[in-house]
Amino acid sequence: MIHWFKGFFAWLRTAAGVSVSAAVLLAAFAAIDRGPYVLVNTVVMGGMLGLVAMGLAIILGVLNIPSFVHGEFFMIGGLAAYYVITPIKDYLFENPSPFLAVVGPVLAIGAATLAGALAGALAELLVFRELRRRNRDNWVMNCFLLTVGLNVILINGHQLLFGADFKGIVSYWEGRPIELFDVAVSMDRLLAFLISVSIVVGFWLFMKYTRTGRAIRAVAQDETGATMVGIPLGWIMTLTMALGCGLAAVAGGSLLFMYPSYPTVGMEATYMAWFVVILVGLGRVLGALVGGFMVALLKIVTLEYVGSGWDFVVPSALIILVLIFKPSGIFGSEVRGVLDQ
Amino acid sequence: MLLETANLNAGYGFLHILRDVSLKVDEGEFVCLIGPNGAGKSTTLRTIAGLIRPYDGRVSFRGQPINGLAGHRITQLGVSYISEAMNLFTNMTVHENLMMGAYTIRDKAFLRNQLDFVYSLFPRLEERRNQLSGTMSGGERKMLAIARGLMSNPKMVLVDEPSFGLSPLMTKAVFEALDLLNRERGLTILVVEQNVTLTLAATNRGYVIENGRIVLEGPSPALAADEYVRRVFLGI
Repeated sequence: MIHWFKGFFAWLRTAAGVSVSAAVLLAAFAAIDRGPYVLVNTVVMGGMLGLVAMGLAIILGVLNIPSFVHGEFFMIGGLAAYYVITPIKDYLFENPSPFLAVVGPVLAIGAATLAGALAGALAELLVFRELRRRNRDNWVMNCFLLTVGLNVILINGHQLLFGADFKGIVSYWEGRPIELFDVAVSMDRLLAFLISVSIVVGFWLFMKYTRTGRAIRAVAQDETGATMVGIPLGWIMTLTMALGCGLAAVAGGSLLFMYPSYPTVGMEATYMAWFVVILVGLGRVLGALVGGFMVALLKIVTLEYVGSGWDFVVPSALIILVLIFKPSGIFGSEVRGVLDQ
Repeated sequence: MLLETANLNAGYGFLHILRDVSLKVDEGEFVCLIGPNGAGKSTTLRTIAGLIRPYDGRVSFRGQPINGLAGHRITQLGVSYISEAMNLFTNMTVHENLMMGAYTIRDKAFLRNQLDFVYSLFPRLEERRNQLSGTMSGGERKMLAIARGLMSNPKMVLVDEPSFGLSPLMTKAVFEALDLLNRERGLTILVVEQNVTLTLAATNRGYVIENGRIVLEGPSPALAADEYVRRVFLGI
Protein backbone atom coordinates (compact mmCIF):
# COMPACT_ATOMS: atom_id res chain seq x y z
CA MET A 1 0.00 0.00 0.00
CA ILE A 2 2.74 2.45 1.02
CA HIS A 3 4.72 1.35 -1.97
CA TRP A 4 1.76 2.14 -4.17
CA PHE A 5 1.45 5.64 -2.68
CA LYS A 6 5.13 6.29 -3.18
CA GLY A 7 4.81 5.31 -6.81
CA PHE A 8 1.82 7.60 -7.19
CA PHE A 9 3.64 10.59 -5.69
CA ALA A 10 6.67 9.94 -7.88
CA TRP A 11 4.37 9.90 -10.90
CA LEU A 12 2.77 13.20 -9.76
CA ARG A 13 6.14 14.91 -10.09
CA THR A 14 6.68 13.77 -13.69
CA ALA A 15 5.56 15.89 -16.63
CA ALA A 16 2.63 13.54 -17.19
CA GLY A 17 1.59 13.72 -13.54
CA VAL A 18 1.80 17.52 -13.40
CA SER A 19 -0.22 18.00 -16.57
CA VAL A 20 -2.84 15.38 -15.78
CA SER A 21 -3.40 16.73 -12.26
CA ALA A 22 -3.47 20.30 -13.58
CA ALA A 23 -6.13 19.20 -16.07
CA VAL A 24 -8.17 17.49 -13.37
CA LEU A 25 -7.98 20.62 -11.16
CA LEU A 26 -8.94 22.86 -14.06
CA ALA A 27 -11.89 20.60 -14.88
CA ALA A 28 -13.03 20.58 -11.25
CA PHE A 29 -12.74 24.36 -11.01
CA ALA A 30 -14.66 24.95 -14.24
CA ALA A 31 -17.33 22.44 -13.23
CA ILE A 32 -17.90 24.15 -9.88
CA ASP A 33 -17.67 27.67 -11.27
CA ARG A 34 -19.74 27.31 -14.42
CA GLY A 35 -21.69 24.12 -13.92
CA PRO A 36 -21.21 20.43 -14.71
CA TYR A 37 -22.16 20.82 -18.38
CA VAL A 38 -18.50 21.80 -18.95
CA LEU A 39 -17.54 18.28 -17.88
CA VAL A 40 -20.18 16.65 -20.05
CA ASN A 41 -18.99 18.59 -23.11
CA THR A 42 -15.37 17.77 -22.34
CA VAL A 43 -16.05 14.08 -22.00
CA VAL A 44 -18.03 13.82 -25.24
CA MET A 45 -15.60 15.88 -27.26
CA GLY A 46 -12.53 14.38 -25.57
CA GLY A 47 -13.60 10.83 -26.33
CA MET A 48 -14.05 11.59 -30.00
CA LEU A 49 -10.88 13.68 -30.26
CA GLY A 50 -9.10 10.82 -28.52
CA LEU A 51 -10.26 8.43 -31.26
CA VAL A 52 -9.05 10.73 -34.04
CA ALA A 53 -5.71 11.31 -32.29
CA MET A 54 -5.23 7.59 -31.60
CA GLY A 55 -5.66 6.96 -35.32
CA LEU A 56 -3.07 9.60 -36.12
CA ALA A 57 -0.66 8.24 -33.49
CA ILE A 58 -0.86 4.67 -34.73
CA ILE A 59 -0.29 5.72 -38.36
CA LEU A 60 2.68 7.77 -37.20
CA GLY A 61 4.07 4.95 -35.09
CA VAL A 62 3.67 2.07 -37.51
CA LEU A 63 3.94 3.60 -40.98
CA ASN A 64 6.06 6.61 -40.06
CA ILE A 65 3.70 8.90 -41.95
CA PRO A 66 3.07 12.37 -40.47
CA SER A 67 -0.44 12.54 -41.82
CA PHE A 68 -1.89 15.95 -42.61
CA VAL A 69 -4.77 14.30 -44.40
CA HIS A 70 -6.07 12.63 -41.25
CA GLY A 71 -9.03 14.98 -40.76
CA GLU A 72 -10.21 14.26 -44.30
CA PHE A 73 -11.02 10.73 -43.17
CA PHE A 74 -13.15 12.35 -40.46
CA MET A 75 -14.85 14.22 -43.33
CA ILE A 76 -15.30 10.99 -45.32
CA GLY A 77 -16.87 9.36 -42.26
CA GLY A 78 -19.36 12.21 -41.88
CA LEU A 79 -20.16 12.12 -45.59
CA ALA A 80 -20.79 8.37 -45.64
CA ALA A 81 -22.94 8.57 -42.51
CA TYR A 82 -24.96 11.42 -44.05
CA TYR A 83 -25.72 9.51 -47.23
CA VAL A 84 -26.79 6.44 -45.26
CA ILE A 85 -28.85 8.15 -42.58
CA THR A 86 -30.73 10.61 -44.84
CA PRO A 87 -32.66 8.00 -46.87
CA ILE A 88 -33.32 6.05 -43.67
CA LYS A 89 -34.72 9.19 -42.01
CA ASP A 90 -36.85 9.95 -45.09
CA TYR A 91 -38.21 6.42 -45.06
CA LEU A 92 -38.89 6.62 -41.32
CA PHE A 93 -40.81 9.87 -41.80
CA GLU A 94 -43.30 8.03 -44.05
CA ASN A 95 -43.47 4.75 -42.12
CA PRO A 96 -42.35 4.97 -38.51
CA SER A 97 -40.62 1.88 -37.16
CA PRO A 98 -38.96 1.84 -33.74
CA PHE A 99 -36.61 -0.93 -34.84
CA LEU A 100 -35.22 0.98 -37.81
CA ALA A 101 -34.99 4.16 -35.72
CA VAL A 102 -32.49 2.39 -33.49
CA VAL A 103 -30.66 0.38 -36.15
CA GLY A 104 -30.45 3.22 -38.71
CA PRO A 105 -27.86 5.35 -36.87
CA VAL A 106 -25.81 2.24 -36.08
CA LEU A 107 -25.82 1.39 -39.79
CA ALA A 108 -24.80 4.96 -40.65
CA ILE A 109 -21.88 4.99 -38.21
CA GLY A 110 -20.84 1.52 -39.33
CA ALA A 111 -20.86 2.69 -42.94
CA ALA A 112 -18.78 5.71 -41.94
CA THR A 113 -16.15 3.49 -40.31
CA LEU A 114 -16.05 1.17 -43.28
CA ALA A 115 -15.78 4.03 -45.78
CA GLY A 116 -12.94 5.62 -43.81
CA ALA A 117 -11.07 2.33 -43.42
CA LEU A 118 -11.45 1.58 -47.11
CA ALA A 119 -10.27 5.05 -48.09
CA GLY A 120 -7.29 4.67 -45.76
CA ALA A 121 -6.36 1.28 -47.22
CA LEU A 122 -6.63 2.74 -50.73
CA ALA A 123 -4.41 5.68 -49.79
CA GLU A 124 -1.79 3.24 -48.50
CA LEU A 125 -1.99 0.94 -51.53
CA LEU A 126 -2.11 3.64 -54.21
CA VAL A 127 0.17 6.28 -52.72
CA PHE A 128 2.40 5.31 -49.81
CA ARG A 129 3.20 1.74 -50.89
CA GLU A 130 4.29 3.03 -54.28
CA LEU A 131 6.58 5.58 -52.64
CA ARG A 132 7.97 2.93 -50.27
CA ARG A 133 8.73 0.62 -53.18
CA ARG A 134 10.57 3.31 -55.13
CA ASN A 135 12.52 5.30 -52.62
CA ARG A 136 12.82 5.48 -48.86
CA ASP A 137 15.16 8.47 -48.70
CA ASN A 138 13.65 11.46 -46.90
CA TRP A 139 10.66 9.29 -46.17
CA VAL A 140 9.06 11.47 -43.47
CA MET A 141 9.35 14.69 -45.49
CA ASN A 142 8.10 13.08 -48.70
CA CYS A 143 5.17 11.54 -46.88
CA PHE A 144 4.32 14.86 -45.28
CA LEU A 145 4.17 16.47 -48.74
CA LEU A 146 2.11 13.58 -50.12
CA THR A 147 -0.43 13.85 -47.31
CA VAL A 148 -0.76 17.60 -47.89
CA GLY A 149 -1.38 16.90 -51.57
CA LEU A 150 -3.90 14.20 -50.75
CA ASN A 151 -5.59 16.67 -48.41
CA VAL A 152 -6.06 19.15 -51.30
CA ILE A 153 -7.34 16.39 -53.60
CA LEU A 154 -9.88 15.09 -51.08
CA ILE A 155 -11.19 18.53 -50.10
CA ASN A 156 -11.63 19.58 -53.71
CA GLY A 157 -12.95 16.16 -54.67
CA HIS A 158 -15.65 16.55 -52.03
CA GLN A 159 -16.53 19.99 -53.36
CA LEU A 160 -16.61 18.74 -56.96
CA LEU A 161 -18.70 15.63 -56.36
CA PHE A 162 -20.92 16.57 -53.42
CA GLY A 163 -20.93 20.37 -53.44
CA ALA A 164 -19.80 22.87 -50.86
CA ASP A 165 -22.99 23.04 -48.80
CA PHE A 166 -23.39 21.71 -45.28
CA LYS A 167 -24.63 18.13 -45.27
CA GLY A 168 -25.78 17.53 -41.74
CA ILE A 169 -28.56 16.20 -39.57
CA VAL A 170 -30.24 17.57 -36.47
CA SER A 171 -29.93 14.36 -34.51
CA TYR A 172 -29.50 10.62 -34.96
CA TRP A 173 -31.77 9.39 -32.24
CA GLU A 174 -35.15 10.84 -31.41
CA GLY A 175 -36.19 11.10 -27.81
CA ARG A 176 -35.87 13.38 -24.87
CA PRO A 177 -32.46 14.35 -23.47
CA ILE A 178 -31.37 12.49 -20.35
CA GLU A 179 -30.73 14.33 -17.10
CA LEU A 180 -27.22 13.76 -15.74
CA PHE A 181 -25.99 15.94 -12.82
CA ASP A 182 -28.70 18.50 -13.66
CA VAL A 183 -27.47 18.69 -17.24
CA ALA A 184 -29.66 17.71 -20.14
CA VAL A 185 -27.53 15.40 -22.26
CA SER A 186 -28.95 14.55 -25.67
CA MET A 187 -29.06 10.89 -26.67
CA ASP A 188 -26.63 11.64 -29.51
CA ARG A 189 -23.96 12.93 -27.15
CA LEU A 190 -24.41 10.08 -24.74
CA LEU A 191 -24.13 7.53 -27.52
CA ALA A 192 -21.12 9.29 -29.03
CA PHE A 193 -19.42 8.86 -25.68
CA LEU A 194 -20.45 5.21 -25.38
CA ILE A 195 -19.17 4.54 -28.90
CA SER A 196 -15.80 6.06 -28.12
CA VAL A 197 -15.49 4.07 -24.89
CA SER A 198 -16.36 0.76 -26.52
CA ILE A 199 -14.02 1.38 -29.45
CA VAL A 200 -11.13 2.30 -27.16
CA VAL A 201 -11.64 -0.83 -25.07
CA GLY A 202 -11.95 -3.02 -28.15
CA PHE A 203 -8.90 -1.43 -29.72
CA TRP A 204 -6.82 -1.92 -26.59
CA LEU A 205 -7.82 -5.58 -26.31
CA PHE A 206 -7.05 -6.07 -30.00
CA MET A 207 -3.59 -4.54 -29.72
CA LYS A 208 -2.72 -6.41 -26.53
CA TYR A 209 -4.13 -9.88 -26.96
CA THR A 210 -4.49 -10.77 -30.64
CA ARG A 211 -1.74 -12.09 -32.87
CA THR A 212 -2.34 -9.36 -35.45
CA GLY A 213 -2.46 -6.63 -32.81
CA ARG A 214 0.86 -7.76 -31.40
CA ALA A 215 2.27 -7.83 -34.92
CA ILE A 216 1.23 -4.19 -35.38
CA ARG A 217 3.07 -3.24 -32.18
CA ALA A 218 6.09 -5.24 -33.32
CA VAL A 219 6.23 -3.40 -36.66
CA ALA A 220 6.02 -0.07 -34.80
CA GLN A 221 8.96 -1.05 -32.60
CA ASP A 222 11.25 -2.60 -35.18
CA GLU A 223 10.40 -3.05 -38.83
CA THR A 224 13.43 -5.20 -39.64
CA GLY A 225 12.86 -7.32 -36.55
CA ALA A 226 9.24 -7.83 -37.60
CA THR A 227 10.31 -9.01 -41.06
CA MET A 228 12.83 -11.35 -39.44
CA VAL A 229 10.15 -13.13 -37.41
CA GLY A 230 7.98 -13.55 -40.48
CA ILE A 231 5.44 -10.72 -40.18
CA PRO A 232 4.21 -9.57 -43.62
CA LEU A 233 4.93 -5.83 -43.53
CA GLY A 234 2.72 -4.89 -46.47
CA TRP A 235 -0.40 -6.43 -44.97
CA ILE A 236 0.25 -4.99 -41.50
CA MET A 237 0.78 -1.51 -42.94
CA THR A 238 -2.39 -1.62 -45.03
CA LEU A 239 -4.33 -2.86 -42.02
CA THR A 240 -2.89 -0.17 -39.73
CA MET A 241 -3.72 2.57 -42.21
CA ALA A 242 -7.27 1.22 -42.49
CA LEU A 243 -7.58 1.05 -38.68
CA GLY A 244 -6.17 4.54 -38.11
CA CYS A 245 -8.34 6.14 -40.78
CA GLY A 246 -11.32 4.11 -39.58
CA LEU A 247 -10.87 5.63 -36.11
CA ALA A 248 -11.03 9.14 -37.60
CA ALA A 249 -14.05 8.20 -39.72
CA VAL A 250 -16.02 6.70 -36.83
CA ALA A 251 -15.61 10.01 -35.01
CA GLY A 252 -16.73 11.88 -38.13
CA GLY A 253 -19.78 9.65 -38.42
CA SER A 254 -20.71 9.81 -34.74
CA LEU A 255 -20.37 13.59 -34.57
CA LEU A 256 -22.39 14.31 -37.73
CA PHE A 257 -25.04 16.07 -35.59
CA MET A 258 -22.38 18.56 -34.38
CA TYR A 259 -20.14 18.78 -37.44
CA PRO A 260 -22.11 18.63 -40.71
CA SER A 261 -20.01 17.33 -43.57
CA TYR A 262 -18.60 20.02 -45.85
CA PRO A 263 -15.30 20.08 -47.79
CA THR A 264 -13.05 21.56 -45.11
CA VAL A 265 -14.67 20.10 -42.00
CA GLY A 266 -11.64 17.86 -41.53
CA MET A 267 -9.16 20.71 -41.06
CA GLU A 268 -10.14 21.24 -37.45
CA ALA A 269 -9.90 17.51 -36.76
CA THR A 270 -6.42 17.39 -38.30
CA TYR A 271 -5.15 20.32 -36.24
CA MET A 272 -6.71 19.11 -33.03
CA ALA A 273 -5.35 15.58 -33.51
CA TRP A 274 -1.89 17.04 -34.09
CA PHE A 275 -2.18 19.16 -30.95
CA VAL A 276 -2.94 15.98 -29.01
CA VAL A 277 -0.17 13.92 -30.59
CA ILE A 278 2.47 16.62 -30.03
CA LEU A 279 1.24 17.14 -26.48
CA VAL A 280 1.52 13.49 -25.44
CA GLY A 281 4.54 12.57 -27.55
CA LEU A 282 4.68 11.04 -31.00
CA GLY A 283 3.72 7.39 -31.24
CA ARG A 284 1.97 7.18 -27.84
CA VAL A 285 -1.30 5.54 -28.81
CA LEU A 286 -3.04 5.24 -25.43
CA GLY A 287 -1.50 8.53 -24.30
CA ALA A 288 -3.34 10.11 -27.23
CA LEU A 289 -6.63 9.19 -25.56
CA VAL A 290 -5.69 11.01 -22.33
CA GLY A 291 -4.36 13.89 -24.42
CA GLY A 292 -7.66 14.01 -26.30
CA PHE A 293 -9.51 14.73 -23.07
CA MET A 294 -6.93 17.33 -22.04
CA VAL A 295 -7.07 19.25 -25.31
CA ALA A 296 -10.88 19.05 -25.36
CA LEU A 297 -10.97 20.43 -21.82
CA LEU A 298 -8.63 23.27 -22.75
CA LYS A 299 -10.73 24.12 -25.77
CA ILE A 300 -14.00 24.10 -23.85
CA VAL A 301 -12.62 26.08 -20.91
CA THR A 302 -11.25 28.63 -23.37
CA LEU A 303 -14.64 28.93 -25.06
CA GLU A 304 -16.19 29.36 -21.63
CA TYR A 305 -13.86 31.96 -20.10
CA VAL A 306 -12.03 33.69 -22.95
CA GLY A 307 -14.58 33.57 -25.69
CA SER A 308 -15.17 31.83 -28.98
CA GLY A 309 -12.53 32.48 -31.58
CA TRP A 310 -9.81 31.89 -28.99
CA ASP A 311 -10.31 28.13 -28.89
CA PHE A 312 -7.49 27.58 -31.40
CA VAL A 313 -5.15 30.14 -29.90
CA VAL A 314 -4.84 28.64 -26.44
CA PRO A 315 -4.11 25.04 -27.52
CA SER A 316 -1.61 26.38 -30.10
CA ALA A 317 0.13 28.40 -27.41
CA LEU A 318 0.28 25.26 -25.28
CA ILE A 319 1.87 23.32 -28.15
CA ILE A 320 4.53 26.02 -28.51
CA LEU A 321 5.30 25.68 -24.80
CA VAL A 322 5.43 21.88 -25.06
CA LEU A 323 7.78 22.08 -28.05
CA ILE A 324 10.08 24.48 -26.21
CA PHE A 325 10.19 22.80 -22.80
CA LYS A 326 9.32 19.12 -23.35
CA PRO A 327 9.68 18.35 -27.06
CA SER A 328 9.28 14.61 -26.44
CA GLY A 329 5.76 15.22 -25.14
CA ILE A 330 4.34 14.90 -21.64
CA PHE A 331 4.32 11.12 -21.72
CA GLY A 332 7.94 11.26 -22.82
CA SER A 333 8.29 9.00 -25.82
CA GLU A 334 11.72 8.27 -27.21
CA VAL A 335 10.39 9.41 -30.62
CA ARG A 336 11.72 6.22 -32.15
CA GLY A 337 10.29 5.28 -35.46
CA VAL A 338 9.94 8.82 -36.68
CA LEU A 339 13.51 10.05 -36.57
CA ASP A 340 15.01 6.63 -37.25
CA GLN A 341 14.54 6.52 -40.99
CA MET B 1 22.12 -28.95 -50.73
CA LEU B 2 20.14 -26.96 -48.18
CA LEU B 3 21.24 -23.45 -49.11
CA GLU B 4 23.07 -22.37 -52.18
CA THR B 5 23.96 -18.97 -53.61
CA ALA B 6 25.24 -18.67 -57.15
CA ASN B 7 27.00 -15.58 -58.50
CA LEU B 8 25.20 -13.33 -56.07
CA ASN B 9 25.62 -9.58 -56.68
CA ALA B 10 24.10 -7.23 -54.15
CA GLY B 11 24.56 -3.92 -52.39
CA TYR B 12 22.84 -0.75 -51.27
CA GLY B 13 21.68 1.45 -54.14
CA PHE B 14 24.78 2.42 -56.15
CA LEU B 15 27.09 0.86 -53.59
CA HIS B 16 27.90 -2.52 -55.11
CA ILE B 17 29.21 -4.79 -52.35
CA LEU B 18 28.86 -8.49 -53.17
CA ARG B 19 30.50 -9.64 -56.38
CA ASP B 20 29.69 -13.12 -57.64
CA VAL B 21 29.39 -14.71 -54.21
CA SER B 22 28.77 -18.45 -54.51
CA LEU B 23 28.53 -20.58 -51.43
CA LYS B 24 26.89 -23.84 -50.41
CA VAL B 25 25.69 -25.06 -47.05
CA ASP B 26 24.66 -28.68 -46.61
CA GLU B 27 22.08 -29.96 -44.17
CA GLY B 28 23.45 -30.23 -40.61
CA GLU B 29 26.60 -28.22 -41.29
CA PHE B 30 28.03 -25.46 -39.11
CA VAL B 31 29.61 -23.07 -41.59
CA CYS B 32 31.32 -19.74 -41.03
CA LEU B 33 31.93 -16.75 -43.24
CA ILE B 34 34.93 -14.75 -42.08
CA GLY B 35 36.57 -11.63 -43.38
CA PRO B 36 37.65 -8.13 -42.47
CA ASN B 37 35.36 -5.17 -41.79
CA GLY B 38 33.33 -4.09 -44.79
CA ALA B 39 34.06 -7.24 -46.78
CA GLY B 40 30.36 -7.99 -47.27
CA LYS B 41 29.77 -10.64 -44.61
CA SER B 42 26.63 -9.07 -43.19
CA THR B 43 25.44 -8.08 -46.65
CA THR B 44 25.59 -11.73 -47.67
CA LEU B 45 23.38 -12.77 -44.76
CA ARG B 46 20.98 -9.87 -45.27
CA THR B 47 20.63 -10.78 -48.93
CA ILE B 48 19.91 -14.43 -48.14
CA ALA B 49 17.40 -13.35 -45.48
CA GLY B 50 15.56 -11.23 -48.04
CA LEU B 51 16.21 -7.87 -46.38
CA ILE B 52 18.16 -6.73 -49.45
CA ARG B 53 17.12 -7.55 -52.99
CA PRO B 54 20.10 -8.85 -55.00
CA TYR B 55 21.02 -7.15 -58.31
CA ASP B 56 21.40 -10.58 -59.87
CA GLY B 57 22.43 -14.10 -59.05
CA ARG B 58 20.49 -16.89 -57.43
CA VAL B 59 19.76 -17.95 -53.86
CA SER B 60 18.10 -21.31 -53.43
CA PHE B 61 16.84 -23.05 -50.34
CA ARG B 62 16.13 -26.79 -50.61
CA GLY B 63 16.41 -26.47 -54.36
CA GLN B 64 13.80 -23.68 -54.63
CA PRO B 65 14.87 -20.21 -55.73
CA ILE B 66 14.24 -17.70 -52.91
CA ASN B 67 16.01 -14.60 -54.22
CA GLY B 68 13.61 -11.72 -54.57
CA LEU B 69 11.15 -13.15 -52.05
CA ALA B 70 10.11 -10.76 -49.26
CA GLY B 71 11.90 -11.26 -45.94
CA HIS B 72 8.88 -12.64 -44.12
CA ARG B 73 8.36 -15.35 -46.77
CA ILE B 74 11.93 -16.56 -46.29
CA THR B 75 11.37 -16.81 -42.53
CA GLN B 76 8.20 -18.78 -43.19
CA LEU B 77 10.19 -21.21 -45.38
CA GLY B 78 12.45 -21.97 -42.41
CA VAL B 79 15.46 -19.65 -42.61
CA SER B 80 15.84 -17.57 -39.48
CA TYR B 81 18.11 -14.53 -39.50
CA ILE B 82 19.64 -13.29 -36.24
CA SER B 83 21.05 -9.85 -36.91
CA GLU B 84 24.03 -8.11 -35.40
CA ALA B 85 21.82 -5.28 -34.11
CA MET B 86 19.44 -7.96 -32.79
CA ASN B 87 16.32 -5.95 -33.78
CA LEU B 88 14.50 -6.90 -30.60
CA PHE B 89 11.13 -5.37 -29.77
CA THR B 90 12.49 -3.21 -26.96
CA ASN B 91 9.13 -2.20 -25.47
CA MET B 92 7.96 -5.79 -25.17
CA THR B 93 8.85 -8.27 -22.46
CA VAL B 94 11.13 -11.24 -23.01
CA HIS B 95 8.11 -13.49 -23.17
CA GLU B 96 6.31 -11.27 -25.70
CA ASN B 97 9.45 -11.15 -27.85
CA LEU B 98 9.58 -14.93 -27.90
CA MET B 99 5.89 -15.11 -28.78
CA MET B 100 6.56 -12.74 -31.68
CA GLY B 101 9.38 -15.05 -32.76
CA ALA B 102 6.77 -17.78 -33.08
CA TYR B 103 4.56 -15.59 -35.29
CA THR B 104 4.61 -18.19 -38.07
CA ILE B 105 3.50 -21.00 -35.73
CA ARG B 106 -0.21 -21.45 -35.22
CA ASP B 107 -0.22 -24.78 -33.36
CA LYS B 108 -0.52 -23.90 -29.65
CA ALA B 109 0.93 -27.16 -28.28
CA PHE B 110 3.91 -26.95 -30.60
CA LEU B 111 4.43 -23.32 -29.59
CA ARG B 112 4.58 -24.26 -25.91
CA ASN B 113 7.06 -26.96 -26.81
CA GLN B 114 9.31 -24.45 -28.56
CA LEU B 115 9.04 -22.07 -25.61
CA ASP B 116 10.11 -24.81 -23.18
CA PHE B 117 12.99 -25.69 -25.48
CA VAL B 118 14.43 -22.15 -25.70
CA TYR B 119 13.94 -21.62 -21.96
CA SER B 120 15.84 -24.84 -21.27
CA LEU B 121 18.58 -23.62 -23.61
CA PHE B 122 18.78 -20.21 -21.92
CA PRO B 123 17.44 -20.56 -18.33
CA ARG B 124 18.43 -16.92 -17.76
CA LEU B 125 15.64 -15.83 -20.08
CA GLU B 126 13.02 -17.66 -18.06
CA GLU B 127 14.13 -15.76 -14.95
CA ARG B 128 13.66 -12.53 -16.89
CA ARG B 129 10.53 -13.46 -18.75
CA ASN B 130 8.55 -10.37 -17.65
CA GLN B 131 11.34 -7.85 -18.08
CA LEU B 132 11.27 -5.40 -21.00
CA SER B 133 13.88 -6.54 -23.49
CA GLY B 134 15.27 -3.02 -23.89
CA THR B 135 16.35 -2.96 -20.23
CA MET B 136 18.50 -6.11 -20.30
CA SER B 137 22.27 -6.45 -20.55
CA GLY B 138 23.99 -7.01 -23.90
CA GLY B 139 24.57 -10.70 -23.28
CA GLU B 140 20.98 -11.33 -22.24
CA ARG B 141 19.71 -9.48 -25.27
CA LYS B 142 21.93 -11.57 -27.52
CA MET B 143 20.53 -14.73 -25.92
CA LEU B 144 17.02 -13.40 -26.46
CA ALA B 145 17.79 -12.62 -30.11
CA ILE B 146 19.00 -16.17 -30.67
CA ALA B 147 16.07 -17.64 -28.73
CA ARG B 148 13.61 -15.54 -30.73
CA GLY B 149 15.21 -16.72 -33.95
CA LEU B 150 14.78 -20.33 -32.82
CA MET B 151 11.12 -19.95 -31.85
CA SER B 152 9.91 -20.35 -35.44
CA ASN B 153 11.55 -23.82 -35.54
CA PRO B 154 13.86 -22.96 -38.45
CA LYS B 155 15.68 -25.50 -40.60
CA MET B 156 18.57 -23.10 -40.77
CA VAL B 157 19.77 -20.03 -38.88
CA LEU B 158 21.91 -17.20 -40.18
CA VAL B 159 23.79 -15.66 -37.25
CA ASP B 160 25.40 -12.26 -37.73
CA GLU B 161 28.32 -11.47 -35.38
CA PRO B 162 27.28 -13.40 -32.27
CA SER B 163 30.29 -11.97 -30.38
CA PHE B 164 29.50 -8.33 -31.17
CA GLY B 165 29.53 -6.28 -27.96
CA LEU B 166 29.88 -9.31 -25.69
CA SER B 167 32.50 -10.17 -23.10
CA PRO B 168 34.82 -13.09 -23.99
CA LEU B 169 33.03 -15.27 -21.44
CA MET B 170 29.61 -14.46 -22.90
CA THR B 171 30.91 -15.02 -26.43
CA LYS B 172 32.07 -18.46 -25.42
CA ALA B 173 28.67 -19.27 -23.92
CA VAL B 174 26.90 -18.16 -27.11
CA PHE B 175 29.17 -20.33 -29.25
CA GLU B 176 28.61 -23.28 -26.95
CA ALA B 177 24.86 -22.86 -27.35
CA LEU B 178 25.20 -22.73 -31.15
CA ASP B 179 27.43 -25.81 -31.09
CA LEU B 180 24.88 -27.65 -28.96
CA LEU B 181 22.06 -26.73 -31.35
CA ASN B 182 24.10 -27.93 -34.28
CA ARG B 183 25.14 -31.25 -32.75
CA GLU B 184 22.04 -32.24 -30.81
CA ARG B 185 19.27 -30.71 -32.87
CA GLY B 186 20.94 -31.03 -36.24
CA LEU B 187 20.33 -27.33 -36.89
CA THR B 188 22.18 -25.95 -39.90
CA ILE B 189 24.04 -22.77 -39.03
CA LEU B 190 25.75 -20.15 -41.15
CA VAL B 191 27.64 -17.75 -38.92
CA VAL B 192 29.44 -14.51 -39.74
CA GLU B 193 32.21 -13.51 -37.35
CA GLN B 194 35.20 -11.27 -36.82
CA ASN B 195 36.62 -13.40 -34.01
CA VAL B 196 38.40 -15.75 -36.39
CA THR B 197 40.18 -18.04 -33.91
CA LEU B 198 37.10 -18.92 -31.94
CA THR B 199 34.92 -19.30 -35.03
CA LEU B 200 37.29 -21.60 -36.85
CA ALA B 201 37.57 -23.74 -33.71
CA ALA B 202 33.79 -24.10 -33.46
CA THR B 203 32.73 -24.63 -37.08
CA ASN B 204 33.09 -27.46 -39.59
CA ARG B 205 33.76 -25.46 -42.70
CA GLY B 206 34.45 -21.87 -43.66
CA TYR B 207 34.54 -19.28 -46.39
CA VAL B 208 36.84 -16.26 -46.43
CA ILE B 209 35.40 -13.13 -48.02
CA GLU B 210 37.36 -10.04 -49.03
CA ASN B 211 36.09 -6.99 -50.90
CA GLY B 212 32.87 -8.77 -51.70
CA ARG B 213 34.48 -11.85 -53.24
CA ILE B 214 35.00 -15.31 -51.79
CA VAL B 215 38.76 -15.79 -51.79
CA LEU B 216 39.19 -19.06 -49.91
CA GLU B 217 37.11 -21.95 -48.71
CA GLY B 218 37.72 -25.20 -46.94
CA PRO B 219 37.33 -27.19 -43.72
CA SER B 220 37.80 -24.97 -40.66
CA PRO B 221 40.95 -26.71 -39.31
CA ALA B 222 42.57 -26.36 -42.76
CA LEU B 223 41.65 -22.67 -42.88
CA ALA B 224 43.04 -22.14 -39.38
CA ALA B 225 46.33 -23.66 -40.56
CA ASP B 226 46.34 -21.78 -43.86
CA GLU B 227 49.33 -19.51 -44.38
CA TYR B 228 47.25 -16.62 -45.81
CA VAL B 229 44.56 -16.75 -43.12
CA ARG B 230 47.16 -16.88 -40.38
CA ARG B 231 49.00 -13.88 -41.78
CA VAL B 232 45.97 -11.69 -42.55
CA PHE B 233 43.51 -12.51 -39.76
CA LEU B 234 45.45 -14.02 -36.96
CA GLY B 235 48.53 -11.85 -37.32
CA ILE B 236 50.89 -14.79 -36.89
